[in-house]
Amino acid sequence: MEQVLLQLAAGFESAFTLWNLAFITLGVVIGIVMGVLPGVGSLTAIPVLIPITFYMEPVTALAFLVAITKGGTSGGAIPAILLNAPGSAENVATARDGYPLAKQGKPVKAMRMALYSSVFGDCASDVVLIALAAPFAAIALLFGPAEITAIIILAFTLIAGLSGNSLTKGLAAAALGVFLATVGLDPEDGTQRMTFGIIDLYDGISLNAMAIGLLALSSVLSQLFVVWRPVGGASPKPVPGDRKEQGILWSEFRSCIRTLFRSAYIGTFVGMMPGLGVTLAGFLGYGAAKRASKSPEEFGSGKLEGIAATEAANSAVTGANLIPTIALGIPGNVAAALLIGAFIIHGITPGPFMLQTNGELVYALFASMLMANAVHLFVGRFGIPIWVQVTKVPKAIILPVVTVFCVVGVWIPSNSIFEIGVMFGFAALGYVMRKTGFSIVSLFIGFLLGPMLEHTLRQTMVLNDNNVLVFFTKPLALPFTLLTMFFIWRLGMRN
Amino acid sequence: MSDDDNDGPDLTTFNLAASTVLTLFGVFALAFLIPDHVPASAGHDQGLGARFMPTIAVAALTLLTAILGLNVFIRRVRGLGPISEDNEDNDDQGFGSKEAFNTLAMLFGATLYVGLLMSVGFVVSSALALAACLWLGGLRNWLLVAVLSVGIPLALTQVLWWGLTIQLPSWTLFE
Repeated sequence: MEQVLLQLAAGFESAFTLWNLAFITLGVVIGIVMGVLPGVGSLTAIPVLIPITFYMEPVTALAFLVAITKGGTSGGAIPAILLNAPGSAENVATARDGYPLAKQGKPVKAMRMALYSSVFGDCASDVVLIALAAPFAAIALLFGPAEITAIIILAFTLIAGLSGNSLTKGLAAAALGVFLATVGLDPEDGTQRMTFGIIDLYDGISLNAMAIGLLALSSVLSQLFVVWRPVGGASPKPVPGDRKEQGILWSEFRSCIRTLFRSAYIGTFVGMMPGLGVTLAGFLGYGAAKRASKSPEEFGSGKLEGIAATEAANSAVTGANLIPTIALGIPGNVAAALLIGAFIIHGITPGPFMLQTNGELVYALFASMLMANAVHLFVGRFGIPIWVQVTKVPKAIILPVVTVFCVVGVWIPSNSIFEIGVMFGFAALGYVMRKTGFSIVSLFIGFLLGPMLEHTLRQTMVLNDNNVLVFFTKPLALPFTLLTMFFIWRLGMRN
Repeated sequence: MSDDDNDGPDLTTFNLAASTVLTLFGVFALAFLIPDHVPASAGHDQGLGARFMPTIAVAALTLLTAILGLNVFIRRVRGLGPISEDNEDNDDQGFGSKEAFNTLAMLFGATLYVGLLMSVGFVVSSALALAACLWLGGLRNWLLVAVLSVGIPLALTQVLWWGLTIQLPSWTLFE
């Protein structure tokens, strides 16, 4: 533990720069603003902004992206509270108590509680990440190719089964992602695979174009079609409140502390498990708080505890989902998958060796995450009047502008119009997948982990004379194989 | 493999169509695409060459999509209810003529945009695209439409050039 604290202190030394702090602040602001816009969200901002980070130092780049994620979670709570229109699915439970509280004339009080809870959940999760990353990575060093292969397949199963309602469709999407990842140079033979003589495909399908098209542009275009064909019904307007009633008393916050710890624990646990997702954490936190409450009937009528439970739980996922990312190179959710993309782009290979080869950078990132929490609290607290104004910008203006940013995001690292075309292709695919229950997250994570799976699976087969039973005979691989079989059975039955 | 208890549009027909298309794609990839476009690697007598992973991935895809189709068939035989699902983004599910039109419109618009990008550059193509999107989105203030659709691409071009020395696609028609 002493070693961890020393490394964290060294991390603070390299991360505490004016430049880093400026980009963390910018990241938090962008995250909140994007989170405030319903249907846009921080997951749209991250892929679009990853190319901008090419021009930054790796620590600054990663801190900037993590700050966007942190800001996005609490930003999504604002429209949930003011308009009963959550910024993203993870904030749905926030609206249950946030909106009634806003209707009672206390919207700022609700937003403040959401912010404080979000920062609390973030801090708790980051502490767990800092404490567990090194021990988990040490355990992961015991794993050989068979174990890593078994873990990747387990991650695919969990993500496929839990990100949608159909395990079959989720696994099919992951298989398609792995297949698409094989386009380009074969990593061992150097032969061209399915490039059809197109030079732009020699390095494979661009991760950047795919991420922006599939995750950002498909979401934006999906929203645009809704804007173009309004369903009807006027949006509810924020309710002006009495200034005196907007603050949070210490007694009110203290009454929520038990809930905050419980939700932070739930969110952290959910974040460590690949595929469980932020939305589930929010609902689990809310449900647990309601069950534990002496007055559960008050939930849904503007109870501060309801807001605290949801926001602490969904924010606690952010730090914890970096535990499997750093220990194994396997993302906990799509935000972590995007961070893996950013790690790779900056020449860092996520996985158990990351702490050995880039230990200083990892601890500087941890320090930046803690700094981002402080900045989040400050910026979020004093920016509330601005965020309220942002909710008033019509989607009809925001969405087309984001589309142009997507184009620029693909052009910056590639200077390739072909990749812009690829982005639009994936946006169309993403739109169809969104409408038909095929998991976009599974496809993206399949694409991201495809090369790693190919490498470890080939190694396993070569080392064991093509014997697939190795997944049952190796003691460290067996638990993961059995878990995969259990989840296929369990999730298959549920679906 | 779908939850019977979900409320939402029926995806039965789409699942069947997706299963058919993807299974056929899988068979095509296994029979033609991979053999013709992935060279058999020399020195890999255990079948672990360049074709190894694409073959496994496509085989898995084919098997899973076949199961998806079989599931629809079994549900119909057993007289079970329609298939409705939700996803991680809580998007409205269902794929009908409206969604098919949207997809085609998206592809057409993208083709047009990329074509314009190659010929008239980023500023003009983005200005036209932005103006069209803003107008279709219901913005009828022509001054605002003009300012936004011309101002944003121009500002981006200038910021990227002076800030990061990145040149966005420029007017190439008369070069």
